[in-house]
Parts: sequence; structure tokens; C-alpha cells
Amino acid sequence: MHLEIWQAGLAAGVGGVLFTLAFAFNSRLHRSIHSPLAASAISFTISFLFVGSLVGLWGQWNITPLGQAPWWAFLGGAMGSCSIILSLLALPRIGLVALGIAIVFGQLGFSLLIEQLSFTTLVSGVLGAKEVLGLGLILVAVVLIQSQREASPPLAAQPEPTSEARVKEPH
Amino acid sequence: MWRLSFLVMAILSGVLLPIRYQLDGKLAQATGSLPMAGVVSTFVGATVLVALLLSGRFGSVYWAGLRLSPWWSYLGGVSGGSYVLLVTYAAIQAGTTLTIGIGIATQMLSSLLVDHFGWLGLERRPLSWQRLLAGILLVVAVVLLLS
Repeated sequence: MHLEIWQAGLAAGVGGVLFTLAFAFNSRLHRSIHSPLAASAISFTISFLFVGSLVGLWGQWNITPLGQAPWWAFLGGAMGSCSIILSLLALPRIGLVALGIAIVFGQLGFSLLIEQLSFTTLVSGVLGAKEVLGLGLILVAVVLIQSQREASPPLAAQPEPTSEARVKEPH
Repeated sequence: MWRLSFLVMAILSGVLLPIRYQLDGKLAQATGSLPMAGVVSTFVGATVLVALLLSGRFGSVYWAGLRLSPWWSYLGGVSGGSYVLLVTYAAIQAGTTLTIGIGIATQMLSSLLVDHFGWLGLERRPLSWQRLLAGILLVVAVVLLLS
């Protein structure tokens, strides 16, 4: 297959690992300050400062071309924040297991739908039977993993007592 | 019915993610600058969350915990910011479905590892046969998506 797909696959793969790390770091911060929203807000602010300084140091900082984009293209970050808010609201009611499965089905299903209907301005991934089989296996794996979490209560229900805040800190 | 509406909310939370990648990707293409698209996206995202936090409608915050939290718990923003740049790049090159599929697979595989060893202060969840089977399925899925 094309080189671009491999590069994209590598980027998406590393992105997935970074997501796991971000989730774990944020969960830890959430336990310390007893607020998932504040932990996300701090994390997103640090994201902006980090990406902003990286781009500045890299010499890529340039706001001029931003005028060429349609207004709605600026709303990507807001979609990410709304996604966080919705999952925080749903978590205490439906639990981490159902939440995890629902998010995976929602994002894969909707993405597949808009690409199959060519309702996309990006390149449309070529999705043959092989790719659809792969996506199906991912759904099965997610259900297998999530259904094992049933035994433990959702994260939001167990903020760590402050006196223990440092107990699990690695050196 | 009540519970169902929260399930719909959870699904919507997932639906917003490919929309996010589409919009970030469009911004990167329209401006010809992936780095600046990342800056705008993280800025807008942070602004929305900070505004909601300041509205005070989402419960109280134990601010004193900021000093007690280990330094590495603040790295979520660094990995989160890098994630935005990488995923936007991948979405432009391969479309959102392949990007999300591979992203979920490596996210799950890495969380199996983190859970197994109880890294990063998370509760330990040793690999059971179900989790091992799921891990194998995920590896096969990635091979299918990339081959």
C-alpha cells in the first residue's frame, strides 16, 4: 500500500497511545482536585501552551493564512470539548463500561457513515471488505475489554482522599 | 427512558470526534498549515472548557489538590496536544475512519498494558484470557487496516 497510508497509520497509532497516556494523566489530576471538568480544562490549556510553543519554536507560527479558512473550520476544538462534557455528564448515569462502548460505536459508526456518503472534505479512506472486517474486530475487542470492567465502579465515583494523594506517585 | 437519553449523550460524545477531525483537517488544508490548525484547535478547545469551568455549574474544585498532585499528572496536556497534531495529520492522509480505527486499536492495546502493570497510578487489571484475546483481535485488525 501507499507510503502515505503507512505514515498516517503510524501517526494514528502513536496518537492512540498518547490518548491512553493523556487519559491516565488526567484521571490522576482529576483524583487530586476532585473535578473532572477542571482537570480537563487544565489539560486542554496546557495542550494549547504546549502546541503553541512547539509551533513557535519550530518557526511555523503564522496567523495570516487563518483568514482563508471558512468560519466553521475553527470549531474543531469546541467539538472536542463538547465531547468531553457529554461523556462527563453521561458517565455517572450509565457507567464506564457502557460509556466506553458507546463512544467507540459513535465515533467509528459516524465516521464510516460520512465517508461512505462522501460527506467529507478530506481524503476518503478506501474502505473495502478487509477494512470493514478490521473495524468489526475492533468493535468485538472493545466489547470484550469493556465488559470486563463491569466489576469496578466508574472513575468519577472514587475521588482519592487528599491525604493519600502522594501514595501512588512513582519516583 | 431516562437512562436511554444518557446513552444517546454518550454516543453523541463519540460522534463529535470524527466531526472534530474533519474540521481540524479542513482548517489545516484551507490554511496550508497543520501546525497552526493545531494551535487554533487547542486554543478553542481550552477556551470552551475554561468558560464552562468558570460558569460554576459543574461542581466545586479542590484547588489545594493542585500542589499535591504529582508533576507527571500535568503531562496530559503534552500528550493530548501531540495527539491532536498526529491525528489531524493522519485524518488528512488516510481519512477519519482508518485514523479512528487504528487510533482506537493502539489506545486499547496500550491501556491493556497500562492496566496489566498498574502503571501511572491506575488500578491493576491483570491480563485475563478475554483481554488477551481482545489484544490479539486488535493486532489482527491493525494489520487488516494497513495491509
